Amino acid sequence: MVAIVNERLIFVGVSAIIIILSAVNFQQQLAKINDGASPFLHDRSQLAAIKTAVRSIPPNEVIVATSQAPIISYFTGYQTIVPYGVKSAKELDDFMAVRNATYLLVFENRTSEGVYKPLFGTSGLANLDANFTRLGEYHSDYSKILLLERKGASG
Amino acid sequence: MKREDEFDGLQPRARLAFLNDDRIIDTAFLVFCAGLAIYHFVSISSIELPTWDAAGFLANARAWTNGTPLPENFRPPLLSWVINGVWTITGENWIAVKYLPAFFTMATAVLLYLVIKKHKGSVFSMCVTSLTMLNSQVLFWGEQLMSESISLLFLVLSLYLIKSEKPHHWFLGGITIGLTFASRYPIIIPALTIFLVEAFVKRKPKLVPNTIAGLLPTLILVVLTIYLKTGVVQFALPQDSNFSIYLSPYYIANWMPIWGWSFLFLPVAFLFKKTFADRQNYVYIAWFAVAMLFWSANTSNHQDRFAFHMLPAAYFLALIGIQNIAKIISQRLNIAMHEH
Repeated sequence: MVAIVNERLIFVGVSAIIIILSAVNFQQQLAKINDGASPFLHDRSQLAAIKTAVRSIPPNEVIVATSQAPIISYFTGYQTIVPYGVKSAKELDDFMAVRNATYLLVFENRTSEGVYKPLFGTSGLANLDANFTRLGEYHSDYSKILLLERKGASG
Repeated sequence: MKREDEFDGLQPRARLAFLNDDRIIDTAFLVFCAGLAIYHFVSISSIELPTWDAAGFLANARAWTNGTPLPENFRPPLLSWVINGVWTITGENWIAVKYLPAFFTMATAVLLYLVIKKHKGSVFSMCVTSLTMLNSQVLFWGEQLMSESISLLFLVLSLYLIKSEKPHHWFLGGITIGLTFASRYPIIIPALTIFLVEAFVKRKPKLVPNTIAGLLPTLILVVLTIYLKTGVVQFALPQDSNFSIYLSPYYIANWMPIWGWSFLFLPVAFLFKKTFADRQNYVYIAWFAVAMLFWSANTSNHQDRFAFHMLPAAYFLALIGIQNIAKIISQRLNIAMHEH
């Protein structure tokens, strides 16, 4: 029997449509992933801002960072820990005291997964003033980075 | 190996002859790869900082060089060793290694195309490879300095070698299964599945010891090296290592962002006897089923990117589904037209 309607034509046609639809869908998904990742991956001035922020911190200090901890560790050489589970200024003070950490690096409104975001948001940061001294404020393309010192440690 | 062209009893029309011409499809694939390579190069160029995980691999690479303790000893070592290899030439520099994942991803595309082409032909292979490489998980995570792209490369390389009939390829396949483990620990599960299913399908028990002879020394070497470096061998964070028989529906419920439209055709593949009649399909069925069960059995850690290593098998099966539908439609239409 001679084929009038070719099986391969149908396969290629359906597959081509599926590939095109998928490619469009994947580009939309990719845009969403990139939107979430851009503040971390595509920030041209973030590394310079981090390096400037930690310049005043003595060597061998432990830094508590609300975001980007392994990146800070790798590029600056400081041991960096993340305040997982901390929900108040008092808890944060205790968390740092136990770990003998003096310096806190806050990415305003930007926290790693598992870090309590309200504490490090614009309004939440005001609650830290009783326990922390602001040493500096640094800006990058996507982030506002604050360096704070624990009052208990300096006093 | 007999190559399947799927046109039993039907004569393709002359105007579709280009679809049977491997040279044309191969050329189209090369053009696709060139476009993909340019895309990845441009995209990676805009990456200014590594991801959280990538920084861990970089820090481990530095520790392997300096002889200091690994900052994150739960991370598989192979990527850090590759980074070290590059750094011995360039010196420690994150920019020098940030393009590495794109090389792994592109090499995966070529291997995947070649291995599927052997059995299913160039058009089918081109479709599977295109869907895999255009998937948003591959486009994004395939560019990050993480274990995804290197482990998929070794997984597909294992498939390529194990699909061969040559005894020394089965030995090399054992080594690459071991390297799949060294690049991302859990991915040894689909790699071993590929090996076991192909050993069953090929019915050549003499090939099996070759793979084991390659696999065991590689595994021992990797585990021993990690143990000597860290004093422990930790394959995952404790919170990520809990499994249950109550499977999570995550990877089905989120089918659209993870797999895309083609996932709708995957179940269709299982409705046709033809899918099971072809023993060459078994490896993809088992690869997909075992990987899906493994990731769905995790109680807490479900992420879109964990589908990364299932994508080729899923798209292979989805296209088998499309192929089965195409066959039915063409047969029905041809019969109807001839009767008319």
